[in-house]
Amino acid sequence: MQLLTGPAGSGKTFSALETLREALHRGETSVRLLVPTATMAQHLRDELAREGLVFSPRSIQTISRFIESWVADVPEVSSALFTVLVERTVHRLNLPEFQKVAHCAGLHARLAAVIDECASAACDARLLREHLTDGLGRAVARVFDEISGALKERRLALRSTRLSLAAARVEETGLGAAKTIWLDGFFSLTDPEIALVQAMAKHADVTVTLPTDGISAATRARLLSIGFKERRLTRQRVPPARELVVAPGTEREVDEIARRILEQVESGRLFREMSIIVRAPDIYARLLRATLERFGIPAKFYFDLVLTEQPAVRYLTGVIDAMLGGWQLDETLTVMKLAPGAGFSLPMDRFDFDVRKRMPGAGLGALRELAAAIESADRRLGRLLDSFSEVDKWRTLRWKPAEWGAQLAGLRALYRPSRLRDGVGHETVLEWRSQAQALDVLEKAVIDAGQAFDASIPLSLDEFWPAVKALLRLTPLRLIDQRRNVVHVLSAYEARQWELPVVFVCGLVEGQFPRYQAPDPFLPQHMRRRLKERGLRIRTTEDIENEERFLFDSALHRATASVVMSYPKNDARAELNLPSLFLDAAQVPTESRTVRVRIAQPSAATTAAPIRSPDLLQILQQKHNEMRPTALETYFQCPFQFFGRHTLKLDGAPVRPEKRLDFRLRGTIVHQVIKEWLEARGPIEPIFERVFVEFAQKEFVVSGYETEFVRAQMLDDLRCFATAERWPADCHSQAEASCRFELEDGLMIRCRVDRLLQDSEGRAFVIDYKYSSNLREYAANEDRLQGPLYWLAAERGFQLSVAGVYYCSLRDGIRYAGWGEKPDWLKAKVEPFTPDWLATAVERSMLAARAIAQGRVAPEPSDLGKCRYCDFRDACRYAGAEAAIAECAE
Amino acid sequence: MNFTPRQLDAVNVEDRGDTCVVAVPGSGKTTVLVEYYRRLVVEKGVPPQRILAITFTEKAARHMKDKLAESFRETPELRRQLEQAHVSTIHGFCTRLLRENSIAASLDPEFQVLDARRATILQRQAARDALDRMFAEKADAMRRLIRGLASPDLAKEIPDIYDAMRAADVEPSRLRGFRRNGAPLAEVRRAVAEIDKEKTFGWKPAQVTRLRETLEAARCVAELPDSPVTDEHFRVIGDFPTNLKGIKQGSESHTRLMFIKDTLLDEARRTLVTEYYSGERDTLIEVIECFDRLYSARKRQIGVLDFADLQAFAVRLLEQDAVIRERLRDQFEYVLMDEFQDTNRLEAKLVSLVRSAGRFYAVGDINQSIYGFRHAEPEVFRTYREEVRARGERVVELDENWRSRPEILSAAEKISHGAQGIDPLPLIAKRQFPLKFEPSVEVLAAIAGTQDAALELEALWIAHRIRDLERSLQLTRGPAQFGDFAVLLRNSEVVPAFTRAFDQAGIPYLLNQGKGFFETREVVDLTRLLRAIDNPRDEISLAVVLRSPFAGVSDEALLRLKTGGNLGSALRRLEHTGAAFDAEDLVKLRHFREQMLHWRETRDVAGFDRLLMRAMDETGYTVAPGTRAAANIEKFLALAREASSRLTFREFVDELELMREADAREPDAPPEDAVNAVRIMTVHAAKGLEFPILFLAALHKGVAAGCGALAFSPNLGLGANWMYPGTSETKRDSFLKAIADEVDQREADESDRLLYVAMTRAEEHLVFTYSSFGKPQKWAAALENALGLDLRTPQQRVAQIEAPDGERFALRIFTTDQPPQALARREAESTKVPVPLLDRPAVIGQHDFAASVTSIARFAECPRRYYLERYVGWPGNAPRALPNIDEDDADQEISASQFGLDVHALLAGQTVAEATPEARKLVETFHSSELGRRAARATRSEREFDFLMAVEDVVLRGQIDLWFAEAGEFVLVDYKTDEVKARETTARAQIYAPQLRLYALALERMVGRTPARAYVYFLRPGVAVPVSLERSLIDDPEALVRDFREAQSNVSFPLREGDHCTRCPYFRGLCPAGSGAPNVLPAQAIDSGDMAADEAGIG
Ligand code: SF4
Repeated sequence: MQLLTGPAGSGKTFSALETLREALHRGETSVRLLVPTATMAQHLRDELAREGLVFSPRSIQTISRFIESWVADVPEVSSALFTVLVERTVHRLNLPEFQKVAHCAGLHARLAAVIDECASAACDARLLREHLTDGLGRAVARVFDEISGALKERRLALRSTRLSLAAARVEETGLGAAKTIWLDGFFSLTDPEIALVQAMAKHADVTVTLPTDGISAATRARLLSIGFKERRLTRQRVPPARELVVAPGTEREVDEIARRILEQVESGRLFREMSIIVRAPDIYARLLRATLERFGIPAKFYFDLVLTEQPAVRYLTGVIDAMLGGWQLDETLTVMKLAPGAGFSLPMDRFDFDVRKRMPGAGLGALRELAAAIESADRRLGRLLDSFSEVDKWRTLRWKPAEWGAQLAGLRALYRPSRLRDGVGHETVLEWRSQAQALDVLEKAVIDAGQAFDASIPLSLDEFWPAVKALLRLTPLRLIDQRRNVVHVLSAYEARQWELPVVFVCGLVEGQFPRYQAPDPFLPQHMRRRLKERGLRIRTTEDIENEERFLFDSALHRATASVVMSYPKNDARAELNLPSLFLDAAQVPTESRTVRVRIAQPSAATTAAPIRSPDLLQILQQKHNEMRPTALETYFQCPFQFFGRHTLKLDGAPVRPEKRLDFRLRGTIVHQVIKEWLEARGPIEPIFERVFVEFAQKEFVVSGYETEFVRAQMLDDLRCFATAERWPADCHSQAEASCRFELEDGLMIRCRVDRLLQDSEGRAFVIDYKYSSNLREYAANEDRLQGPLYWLAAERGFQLSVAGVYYCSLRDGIRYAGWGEKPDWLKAKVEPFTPDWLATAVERSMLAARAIAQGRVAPEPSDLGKCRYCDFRDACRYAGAEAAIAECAE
Repeated sequence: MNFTPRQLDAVNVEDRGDTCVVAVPGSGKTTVLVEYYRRLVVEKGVPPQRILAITFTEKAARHMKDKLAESFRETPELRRQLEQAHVSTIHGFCTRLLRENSIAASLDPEFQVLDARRATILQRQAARDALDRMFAEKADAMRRLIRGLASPDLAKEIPDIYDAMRAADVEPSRLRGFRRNGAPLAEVRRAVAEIDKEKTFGWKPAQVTRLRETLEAARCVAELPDSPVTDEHFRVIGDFPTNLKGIKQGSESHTRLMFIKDTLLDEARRTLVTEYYSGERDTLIEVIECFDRLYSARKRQIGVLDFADLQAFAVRLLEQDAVIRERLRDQFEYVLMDEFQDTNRLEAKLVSLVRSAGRFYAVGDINQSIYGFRHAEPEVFRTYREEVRARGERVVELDENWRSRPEILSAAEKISHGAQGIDPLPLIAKRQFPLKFEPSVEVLAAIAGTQDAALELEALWIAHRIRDLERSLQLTRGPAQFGDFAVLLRNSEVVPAFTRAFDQAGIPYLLNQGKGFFETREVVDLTRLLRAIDNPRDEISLAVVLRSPFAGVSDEALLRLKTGGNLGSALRRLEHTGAAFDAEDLVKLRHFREQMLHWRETRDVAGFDRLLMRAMDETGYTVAPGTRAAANIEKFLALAREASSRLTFREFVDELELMREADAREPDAPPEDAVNAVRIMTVHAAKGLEFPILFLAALHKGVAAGCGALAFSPNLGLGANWMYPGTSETKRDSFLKAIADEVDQREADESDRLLYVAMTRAEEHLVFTYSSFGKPQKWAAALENALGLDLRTPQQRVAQIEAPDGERFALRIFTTDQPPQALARREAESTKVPVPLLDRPAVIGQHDFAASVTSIARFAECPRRYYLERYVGWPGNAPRALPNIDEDDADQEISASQFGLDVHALLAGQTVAEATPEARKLVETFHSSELGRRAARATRSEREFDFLMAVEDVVLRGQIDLWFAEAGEFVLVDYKTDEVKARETTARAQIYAPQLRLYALALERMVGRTPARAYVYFLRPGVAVPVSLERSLIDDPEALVRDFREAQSNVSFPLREGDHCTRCPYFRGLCPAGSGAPNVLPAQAIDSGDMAADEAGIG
C-alpha cells in the first residue's frame, strides 16, 4: 500500500515500468500495471517490447480491462446507449420541469453526464434527492432512479457500478495470479476506483502514483486515510528548452508548428519523436490534419472522428431518412450522390440535373422514370433505385427491437465500395479504413438500439429509427492508425504518460487552455460546492481549474529536449486573443515565420488570346454566318459574353425551383400571350391563364406566393397592354413574323418580329415588345441593333416600305419609343428616320461579324454596369467586371 | 498613468449612486473604464466575478480584458479570477446566462449560436415558406395582399422588419395593437360646414357657380360614411377638382377649399387607404406571425439561437423568473457599460433587469451614436443621463481630447456647431504636438460639369495630394508614410474612382469594404471548383475552372471541347472527342481530368477544406501570402472546414450558392500584415479608430436611405405602401407616413453625428474633399455653410476661420477645375521579405508499429487479402463476427467465429456454458489423440499463452494455443477448426507454417531455447501435422516481418493468386483476381456504357 507522489517528470511512470521490467527479467508474470487509457497501455507495452522483452499484454492494462473477468456478466453500458436510455426515460416520465426541453438532444446528453458524474462520486439518486431540494434537482433524481432501474433490467451497468461490483468480488475471490499492482497515470481516482484499490490491496501489493498538484489532493487524502504510505519523488529530469511562439492567427500558428517539425526532420529527428498537444481539438484537430497533410507530415490523431460525418454512414442513414420522408426528390438525390462511385458516374451527373429540374416532388416512381430515360449499359442507377425499393418495404413493417437490429445491421450491404486498389497514399487508406470502421460501428449501433426498447413489443421503423440515429450521433469513431513513424497529435489527457523529445503545445489562449467550461444547468456551481461540502466528490470550478493547471504542467513535461508553446494573436474572426493565464507574462514570445510548402508548378489563368486555329475559325464562321440581332447586341456588350452564350452555349446547373419563373420565362409567356391575343382579340385574361399554365407545367414552375405575385404582375401588365392597344383596326397585323435576309457579304440576319403592321396605305410599322420597364435602355443605347435591323428586315425580308420601328415596354405601363413616323395618337419619343442610322447599324454589325470570324472573343464589356447580370462574369476573369460587381454588392 | 481631474472623478470608486460618463472622442474612455474596474477590484475589494462589464463590440471586450490582465499581472490570484469574469459583449453575456439557466429558459442546454450568414439563409427560407403556407391556406386573402401592396417582395422585407421588431422587443402579435387615430373626413365635414356659412356677396355669378360645384364635390366627400371604406370613397375624392380656378381668390371659401384640397384630402386619402386595406394589413401581420412560428420552430429543431434570440430569451428569462433575476442582481455588485448610446431598446431592458440601483456605470456619447440602422436608440442614453443628473448622482463629462491637433478639433466644432443631431459639448485639445507651419486642415474641391467628371477629378487630386504629403509632411513620429493615411467615405459607390486614381499614381492601398467576400476572385474560383466537382455538367462552373489557374487552358481548348458536347462529358471522353487540341492544352486537360476524377472520388470523404487544399496544391493555385486574397482563401477554407461537419458535399455547394446570393455583405477577410498602405474605408467601419492623416472624401455623396415599402417603428408599429385604389399610383398608409417622418428625422441627426465621428478620427492632418458640380450637396453643403465659404470657383488660399470658442485656425483652400499634372508612376515598393518555400519531407517508416501474428500469417498467404481484410478492414462476402472496435484490440483476430472461440476456450480449460456438443466433441478428439495425451503428461505446459514481442521494429502480438515440455524439449501446438479433409491437411498446414515459426521465435526469446517440434492440429479430421521450424532463406520469420513492413510502408500488396482464392471472401468482389486487371481504376470501370447517351456538341 504505497503511494508514490511527485511532480510531473519526476519519474513515477519510470518507477512503475522499472518494477515490471525487473519482474519480467526474473520470469515473473505477477506484476500488473494499470493505466487510465487504452492508448497509454499500448504505448507503454510497445516501449517494453521494443526493449526486447517478451511478455503478456495483460501486464499493462486499463482498469476496465483488468476488472473484466470479475464483471463479465454485467457489461458496461456505452455512453451513447446510456444517453439514449436517459432520453427515453425523460420522455416516459414526462416531468413538468423538462416538458419544454424534453426533445432537446443537449438535455439528454447533459443529464446523462450529470448522472454519470454523481454515480462516480458515489452519490445515488437517494442522496441526490436529499441534497438537492429544488424542483430541478428532484427531477434529476427522478430520472436517476428510473435509469438505474432500466440498466438493471438490461443487465447493464455504468462504469462506476461495475467498479464497485468488481471491488466487492475481488475482495471476496482475490486477484488470481496478480501479486503486485501499480496504478500509474491517474491524477485522481473516483470513489469506486478507490474502493477497488482498497479491495485489491487486500490480496496484492498495490502502489498508486499521483502527481503532487492540487488536483490530486482529495485522492491522496483518501488513500492515506485507508492506510497507504506516501513516498515522495523529487523532480530529477532536466527541464527541456522552452520557447513561446506567437502567430498572427491560428492558421499561421499551425503552419509554424509544421515548419518547425520539418526543421527537426531536416536535422535527423524522426516524426515519431515529436508530438503536438492539443487542448481545444474543436479548433485545432481539423486544421492540423489539413495543414500537416499539406506540408507532407504524417501524423496520427488521437481524437475521435464523428461517426455521422462519415459518408458511408451519411449514405445509409440518409437512405432510411429519405424512405421515412417518402422519398422526397431533393433528399433522395442528396443521398444518391453519396453512393460509392457516384462521383465517377456520368449517368449520375445527368440524373442529378434532371432531378433538380423536376424538384420538388417525391416518390421512387418519379426517380425511376427519370433514371430510365438515362439508363446506361450497366444499369447502375436502376440498381441503386432497386435497392431503395427493398428498403422501402420496411416502411409498413412492425418488428421487435432485436429483429429491427438484425435487419438494419444488413444495411451495410448497400454500401459497396468501388475496388480498393493498393499503391495509394496512406491518407487514402485511412479514408477507406474510416469508412469500413464506421460501418462496423453502425452495425453495432443498430443492434444496441434494440436495448433502448422493450424487447417484446413490435414497433415500426418510424419508432425505432430515432434511437439508432441518436446512438450514431453519440458514438465516436476512433480511427485505427498504427503507423510507426508519425507525429503524435494528442489531447492533453492522452499525453500524460508520454515522453518525447520534442513537444508542441498549441492554442495557449484564454478559453482554450485553460479550457472554458460550459456552465452546467443541473448542477450549477453553488450546488456543486454544497454537495462537495457534504463530502461528495463533485467537481467544482476550482477542481477544474486545478485540473487544467495540472494538464498544462504535465504537457510541458512531456518533452525531453524541447517544448514549443504557441498561441495565435487573433482568433478566426480577427479579434484579439488573450494569452493563456498559464503563460509566464514576462516571457517574450518569438514571432512565427510565414512559410509555404512548395507546390506544383503554378499554372497561369487563361490569357485572353483570340481563337487562331483555322479549323476553329471556320467553325466560328459557319456557326455565326447567320445571326439574330440580339446576338450581335451581346457581342457589342462583350465579346466574351457572346462567346459563352452564343458560341459555346454554356449551360449552368439547373436553378432552384423558386427561380424557374425567371425574366426569360416571363418574357416568353408575355410574348406568347400577346401573339395569341393579337390573333384572337377579346378578353386577354383567359388567354393568359391558359398560356401561363402551359408554360408553368412545361418548366416545372412551382406554385406559391412568389409565383402568384409574378403572375399577378404579368396579368396586370397584359391587361394594361390590351387596354392601351390603339393601332387602327384597319391595319393588317401579324405577330411573331419570321424572316431571314442578307445584311452584307453573306452575313444573314434572322429575325422574328414581335409585330408587323401594315396600314391601308401599305406602310409598315414594326413593334418589338419588351417585358421590361426600362425603355431608355433599348431606345437610347447605341449598342442596340434591333431597331435598325428590324427596319431592314421589314424592308428586305418582307419587302415592305417601312414607316416606323418602335420598342414598346410593357412593365408598369405601356410606353413606346422608336424611329420614323409618329402616329398622332401615339405618345412616344420617336426619332426621325435617317439613312445614316441604318448605315451605321449595318457597319457596326459587319464589324462585329468580322471580329467574330477573326476569333476575337476576349472580354471587353461596353457597359461595366451590366457585368453583374452576366452569366459569364465568373468565367471571364475581367478585372474591371470584378470591381464593378463587388461594388454592386453594397 | 496621470489622470486629469475629470478622469479622476470618473474613476473614483466611492459609492455615489449611478454614474454616467459622457466621453467625447479621444477622451480616453477605455482607459477610464479599465481603471474604474481595476479600482473596484483593487481598492474596493470587489471580486471580478461580481462585476459585469459590457462592451459594444467583441474587439472592445477583448481589448478591455487584455488591459485588465496586464494590470493584474503582478497579482496572479486576481489574474486567475479575471478568467471567469464577465467582460464581454451583451451577446456574450446573454449566451452565458442562458447556458447557465437553459432549462429555466426552455432551451437546449447545448444550443449553438447561429452565425449571421446561416441565420440570413434560414430566415429567407422561412419567409418564403411562410408566404407559401399562407398562400396555400388563404389564397384569396393573400391575393388581395399581393394586389394591395405596392411592393410585395415580402420574402426579403419580412426578415428585416422582424429584426427591427425583435430589437425593440415587440412580438408579432403586438403589431395589431398599434393604432393611428385620425378621422380626416370629420375634419372635411367641419371645413365644409364652415364654408357653407360664407356669404357670396359681391362674387361674380361664374364664381358662385364654380364655388357651388366645388362645394358640391366637397359635400359629396363629407357625406361619405366613415366606414366601411369602399372604392366609392376613392372615386368621390378623385372627383374633387384638382384646381380651384374660378373661385374668388382671397375669399375665405377659397382659402378653406385650398386647405381641404391640399391638406385635408391628402390626409383623408391616407387614412382611407389605411382603413381600406385594414384586412390586408391583418393578413400581412398573420404572415409575419407565421414566419415567426416557422423560423422559431426551425431553430428549435436544430438547437440553435440567432443573435437576436440571445437577447430576447435572456430578457424573457429575467422577466419571468424572479429567483434568477434576484440571484443575478446579487451576483453583480457593479454593472459597467461602454458605448451606452448604441444600445437598442431590448438591450436597455436587459441591462435594467440586471442592474441594481446605484451600481450602474455607463459610458457614452450621444454625438457618436451612428447605429440607428441597427436599431440603436440614443434616447436611452439621454434619458439615463438626465435621470442620473436629476437624482444628483454622478455625471462626468470627459471633454478633453487626447487625440487631435487643436485646429482639427476647432474645425470639427465649427462644422458641427448648431447641427441638429449634435449635443453641444466642447472638445478641449490636450495632446501636445510639435510646432507645424502648414495648416492642419484643408479643403479640396474638384469642379466639373457633371458629378462623374468632378469625382474623377477629385480622386486624381486626392492621389496627388497624398503623393505630395507622403514623406514631406512631418508627423509627430517622423515623415508621413502611406500607412499613416486613411480615406474615409460615406458611400462606397465612389470607391472605384479612388482605386483607379491610386493605381494610376502608384499609391498602395488597402480597401476595407467590409463586403463582397463571395464575389472576390479567389472565392469565386474555389466556389466554382466545388460546383464543377459536384457536377461537371455545370458547364459555366467548369468553364470558370478551366480558364482559371486550376487548369489554365485556352479559349480555343474550350471551343474544341465543346465540339464534343457537354463540356463536362467531353472532358471525360477527351480522347474520344476527336478534337485536335493544342499540345499544351491537351497536357493540361488530361492532367486536370485525372485530378478531377480524384477530387470527385474523395469529395465527401476528406473534408472540404482538405479537398480544396489538395486541389490548390496539386494545381499550383496560389496567391501571395499576407495579402487579402490569401486571407480570403483562409477564411473560405475555415468555412469549408466548418461545413464538413454539417453537410454533404452537395449540400455545401447549395449552401454556398445561397450565401453568395443572400449575403453580399459578408466582409472580406482582413490581410494579416500591417502593410504600408493607405486605408480606404467607410466612416462606420472607422468608428473607434484613429489616423494621423485623414481624407474625408466625396463629401457631396450621401447614402440612399429613408424607409422602404414596409417598415416598422417601435413607437408606431408596422407601416406599408399600398396601391391607391383605382389607379396605378401608390400611397403610404398613416403608419408608414409617420414612420418615414421619424426615420427622416433620425437620419438627419445621424448624418450630423456621422460627420462628427468622421472628423474626430484625424490626429494631425485633416483634408475635406468633394466634387463640386452646381449647388453643393450633403456634407459639402454643410461644410461650406458652416465655414461661410463659396467654393464653386477655382481658388487657392489660406483662410483664417473662427471656431465657436473664439479660437482661430488656418484652413488651406484649394478648388480647381483642372486635372493635376500626371504623376510619374512610382512602383509601390515592396517591403516584403520573400516567403521561404519548404519541400515536403521524405516519408519513411509508415508501417504499423504493431501487428498480430495471424496478420503476418495472412500476409504471407496473400498480401492483397491481408490488405483488404485487415489493413483497410473492408469485409468480404463471407459471414463474419462483429469485430471488436476497442483500440486496445485493434489488431486482434477478427474473423474468428464464435464456434472457434468456444473450442479454443474449452481447450484452454475454461468453462464455456453455451458450448455446442460439436465443440465438446472436437475438444475430446484432441484430448484423446496421441498429441493430447503427450501434452497431458508433460512436465510443464501453457495454454492460451499471450505474448508481445518486437521483431524488426514491429511489436507482434500472438497467442500460442499450447506448448509443453517433454523430455527436456519444447513442443508447440496450434489448433485449427478448419473444415478440411484429412488428405488436405499437409498442404493446409504449410499455410500456417509462418505463424508457427513466429510462435517458436517468441518461445525461444521467452525461455531461451528453440522448440524442438511444432504441430498444426486439425480438430475436425483429428490430424496432427508437424511443421518444420528450420530457418531458411525464404522462411525466415524476420524476413517475413520485413516484407510485411515494406508492403505497409509503400501500400503495395500484390495478389497471390492460387487455389486458395476460391476460399477467399474477396474473390470476384473487392479483389480483381481472375479479372486480369490487377488495379482497375474505378473510374474506367464505371465509364463503360456511359458513352452511349450524350448530347450533340456544337455544329
Ligand atoms: S462579366 Fe462583363 S466582362 Fe465578363 S463576360 Fe460578362 S460582360 Fe464580359
